[in-house]
This record gives sequence, C-alpha cells and structure tokens, in this order.
Amino acid sequence: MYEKFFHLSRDLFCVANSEGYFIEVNPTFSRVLGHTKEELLSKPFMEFLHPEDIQKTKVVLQSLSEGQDTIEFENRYLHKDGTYRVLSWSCATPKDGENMYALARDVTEIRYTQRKVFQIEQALNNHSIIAMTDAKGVITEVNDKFTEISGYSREELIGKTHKIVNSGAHPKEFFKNMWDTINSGKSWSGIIQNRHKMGHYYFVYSILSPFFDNQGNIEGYLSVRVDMTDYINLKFAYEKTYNILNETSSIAKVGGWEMDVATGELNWTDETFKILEVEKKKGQKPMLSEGLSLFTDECKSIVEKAVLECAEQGTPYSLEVEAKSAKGKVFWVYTNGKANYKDGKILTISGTIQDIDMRKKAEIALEKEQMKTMQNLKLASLGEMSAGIAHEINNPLTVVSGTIGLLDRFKDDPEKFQEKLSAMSKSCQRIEKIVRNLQKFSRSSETTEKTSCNLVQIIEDSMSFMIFKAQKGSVEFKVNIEIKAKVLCDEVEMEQVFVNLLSNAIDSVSEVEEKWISLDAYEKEGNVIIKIKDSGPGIPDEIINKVFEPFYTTKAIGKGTGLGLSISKGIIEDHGGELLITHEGPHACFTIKLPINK
Amino acid sequence: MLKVYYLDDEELLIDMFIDYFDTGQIDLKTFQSPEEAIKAVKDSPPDLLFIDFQMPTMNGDQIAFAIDERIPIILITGDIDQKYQYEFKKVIRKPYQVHEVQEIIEEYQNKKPL
Repeated sequence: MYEKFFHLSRDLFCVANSEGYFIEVNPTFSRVLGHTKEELLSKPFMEFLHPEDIQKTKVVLQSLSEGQDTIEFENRYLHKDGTYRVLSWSCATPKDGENMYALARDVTEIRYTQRKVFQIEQALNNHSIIAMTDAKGVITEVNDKFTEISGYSREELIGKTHKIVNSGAHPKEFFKNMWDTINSGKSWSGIIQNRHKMGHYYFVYSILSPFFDNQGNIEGYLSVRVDMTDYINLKFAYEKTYNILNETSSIAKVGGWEMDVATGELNWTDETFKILEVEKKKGQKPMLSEGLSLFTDECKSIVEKAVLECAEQGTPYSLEVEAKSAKGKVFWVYTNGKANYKDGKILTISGTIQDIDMRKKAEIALEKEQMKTMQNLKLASLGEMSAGIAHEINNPLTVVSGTIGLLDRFKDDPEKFQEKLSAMSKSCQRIEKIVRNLQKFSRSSETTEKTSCNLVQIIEDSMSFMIFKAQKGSVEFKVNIEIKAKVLCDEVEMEQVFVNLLSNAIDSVSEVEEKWISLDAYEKEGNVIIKIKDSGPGIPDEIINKVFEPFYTTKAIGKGTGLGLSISKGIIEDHGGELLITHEGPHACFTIKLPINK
Repeated sequence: MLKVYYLDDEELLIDMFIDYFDTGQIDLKTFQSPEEAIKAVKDSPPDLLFIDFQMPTMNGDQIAFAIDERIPIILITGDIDQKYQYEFKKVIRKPYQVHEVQEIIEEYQNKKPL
C-alpha cells in the first residue's frame, strides 16, 4: 500500500546502502535527474554530486552513521544534460538496518527565484532610494540611499511622513493627484522636488506602488526613487543655453535646418520658419520640394544642385541667393549646408539660412556707385586727354584735307599722285587708331574682361594719350621697357591706371626746373614690375598714407577728383597685384607689381 | 622775294606746305626741329615765320621767345583751348584751309617793298 506513495509522489525517494550505492529510487528520481534507474544504481551516488558539495554530503553521512536519526540539508545533483539540480534532503537511517532512507525535493527553481529577488533587492538598494510606509503614509523603512540624499538619519525618518522632505515646490493638487492614484491601487510616477535637511533641493524620479494584504486591502506603500538632480540641472542649463541660442539666432536672423537624405524631410528651427515666413504646423514637417520652392525661379536650380551634390557626394556649399518667402517677399539670403555621416553614409545634411537682404542690397548699391565713379573718373580723364586727342587728330586731318586740293595738280604725275594718296591714307590710319583707342578707353566696362596680354602695347598706348600733356609742360619721358612675359589683365583698366599715374606725374613736375618722368618696366621673381618716377618734389610724409584714400586730393577744386589713385589701387589689386608708393631720393615713385600669367 | 620759314615736326605737313607754297613766289625753307629753325632764324632772319606749337623738345612759346621779336610769327596749331604767353601775329587752327595761309603770305608780300 505504501508503495503507491513511492511511485506517485512528486518528491524523490531513495534507499542507499552503506557502500554508497542507491539500491532503490522512485520514478520521480529519474524524471528530475534525467538518468534511468539502472544508471542511478550503477555507480556510487557521490559521483552524481557537484564537486563542491561532496565534502558537505560526506559530513552528513558521517553524522547519520554515528546515530543521528534525521538530517535536512541541500546539495546539487548532476542532471543527464550536464546541469545541476538543487535537492533539499531529509535523510534517516533506521536503528535496525544498514540502509539509509532519504527523501528529497527539487528546489532548483525556488532557489533560483530567491537568488534573483535577492539580487534585485541588492541592486535596488544600492542604486535607488527606497522607502516603505504604512497605509497612512508613515515611514516604516528606508534604505541608506534615502538617508544619504535627504540628510536625515534612519531614526529621524521612521515614524514621520514624507512631509519631512517636502520642498514646497509643488502645489497641493500635485500631491492630491498622487494620493488619489495610489489609493485607487495604481502606481504613480513622476519627478518630485524634495528638500535636504540642510535646505538645498534635490530631484527624484519616484515610483510609488501600493502593497496589499491577503484581503486585498492596501497595507502600505513602497516608493522607489532615482536621484535626478544632475539631470534636471543639466536640462535647465541646456534649456537656458537653447533659449539664449534661439534668441541670438533671432537677432542675427539665422535659421537652422536639417534634411533627412532618405526621405527629403526637413527640420527647421523657429527662426527658419520666421525668415521664410512659413506658418509652422504642428506635426507637419516641410519637405525638400517645399524648401526649394522658397527660392526665386532663378535661384531654385542653383540651390537644388548644391543640395543634391551635398546629399550625394558630401560637397559642402555656401550660397548667396534670392529667396521668395511664403508670403511672396523676395529677399537675399545666405545659406550653407554640409553632410553628416554615420558609418560612412550621408544620413542627413544640415546648415543655416540667414537674411542678408540689407547687407546685400547695400553691397549692390555700392557696386553700382563704384561703377558710376569709375565711369566718372574715366570721363574726367577723357576731358583731360581731349586736348591731346584734338591735337593728335588735327595734324593728320590737316594732311588729308590739304592733300585733297593737291590731287588735281598731280593727276598727270602717277608717282606724285600715289605719294599723295599714301600720305592721306597714312593720316587716315592715324586718326582711326586714335579714335579706336578712345572708344576702348571710354567703353563702359560693366563686365571686365581679363586677357593674357603684353603690357608693352598698353603702356605705349597710355603714353600716346599723355605725350601731348607732357610736351605741353615740356616734360621729358625716359622710358625703359624690358618685359616679354604676359599678364592677365583688362587692357582698358590697365590703360586707365597708366594714364592716371602718368598724368599725376606730369602734374607733380610742373613747378620744378628739371622736368622728367621715368618709366621702367621689367620682370622680377614671377612678377612684372613697372616703376613710374618723376622729378617732382615727392610726397610729404604726413600725406603719403592718404594718397590712396578716395576723394583725397592736393589739386585745386575742379582739377582732380581725388579718386584716381584709390581706383588705380583697386584695379591693380583686382588683378592680384600691388600698387605701392615709395621715395627714391627726394622723388616719388609708384610701383606696380603684377603677377606673370604662366 | 618774301623769305618764309616753316617749322613743324610732322613730315607730311611740311611736304604739303612745300607742295602748296614753294611755287617760286616766295623763298621757302622748312624745318622739322625747333633747334635747327632757331639757328637758321639767327643766321638769316626770315620775313615771316610759321611754327607749330606742340613739338617734342620745345613748344611754340619757348621758340618764339628765343627769336628776334621783330620777326612776325604765325602759329599753326592743332591745339584747342590753348593759351599762349607769346603774342603771335596770328593763330591758324589745324586743319587749316590753304587760302588762310595764302592770304597771310600775300599780306606780307604786299608789305614788303619790292
């Protein structure tokens, strides 16, 4: 009858002999350990034990053999699959026999769960702030972390409610809502600001859960808290920075943007919406096509090309283009973009957009103004040159008009006739050349054209304009040109510079006895150098730095614009060169340095 | 015969002047350099002197002041708006008509006792 227990029990039953072999095991034994009965009986049971448990088990067996009737203990048995099962034993040796009767229960899962719970509790205790209260909220238990963060000792806390750490920062409704939630049997979580015993504040993320007794009534509460003080402070600092940044962006009218390369979805900062006058809709992000539609038709393709190149090849860009806001306002913006990589792939591109309308328009106006000034200056130089031009034209013109009257006289003398015709033709060519030069000089050069040219011809043409003025003032030209290399330049602009410098030089020798101007041109270290020196008294030290300033002039009213040198300097610098003024002895010397075009 | 000198640095203008006026009516000499002209005037003063103003080494004023003031000087010039320090007897503007020069020559031919 008892055999039924042996077969049906979920516990493990066994009988072992004094040699250390099982002589009988019930089926549960096989089920729990995976070995067949034959296997279990085939070798000493010690061989199934976890090596660490052998010693302990030997001690137990020793006690039993010495007459102790029952002993309870645990050890680990090898399962067929190589793992160990924890068995909790009750062993007995009847007084009459040599055999040992033992009963075991598989407690592997229970022990595992217990260990896990213990570990969780340890972890919670080490890393969280834990408190338990009764149903009224009176603290019954706190861990060390609670005492650390609050500054109160365990004795000070137990028996009090959480009011002891109340910071006063939260309104009554906050706590009422919290209590309503946990009283209804649910958990509550949120960030609470508390006060340390010393008065400073700390922030805790709190999870409050009710505990129930066997009847389902709330017995007390468990609170688990995490210290969030650093995070909150950091977040506050971040928000502050973010606000400052936003404000700064707003003042500077700089907006930010980011595009998801895969979807074409755009992320805009508030300022970007403002700049482009686009209404911000919650949860709706603009797409690339919408972004591109906010540029003028002319600029759209430029921006689109730059964006695509940036998204595909990672080429950064910065552009000054005209935008057309959602409300139709056309204005200048600066916008740039760069690629952002992750694992070698372009994930997003991002950049800024800035309203530069005022600056750009001022720049354009200034450019136009400069163009006008250049033109005025040219006209002024033309006026100055016109006397010389008239002289140059009137001589050959006299030959032409005078020779016409002679043709009739020589009609029977072919040789003479031919000679007269050639004199006329030569004179016509001279006039033609002067007029052509003049056209070139007065050309409104809105678009400057730089070509590779030898400066010799340009210098000679400029001198031909000035030779009259020089002769009129009895100024001698000393010219020494030794340049073969070419420079990349706008012929007309260059001619203006030479005319201006030569004209100034002639003016500056008007009062001196010995009047000469020397022009030396040569090559040196990759540059063409042209030095124009005059026999004048030089430029006083106190104004030498002012001569390149616009509107500075030493000439009488109506005689000079005061723009010549500033514009000449501008032209030379635009050609990548330098225009310098130095003194050689007492005489002023202007040096032009232009890079040779290779 | 009226002795006339003409000074101009332009060869073509000298040639033309010769073609028109060296017809045996006057005794004409031409010069391309101011220095040569001044020397010739000193050596053998003409009755009438035509000079250009703008020349490489000297201008009309400087030449005129370097010459005996009794010699009548006519300026033939391509300049416009030019003011002269010397009081030329007459100023002819280039391009000139042949008759302008012709009339002056005739005027001085008539003054000169034959």
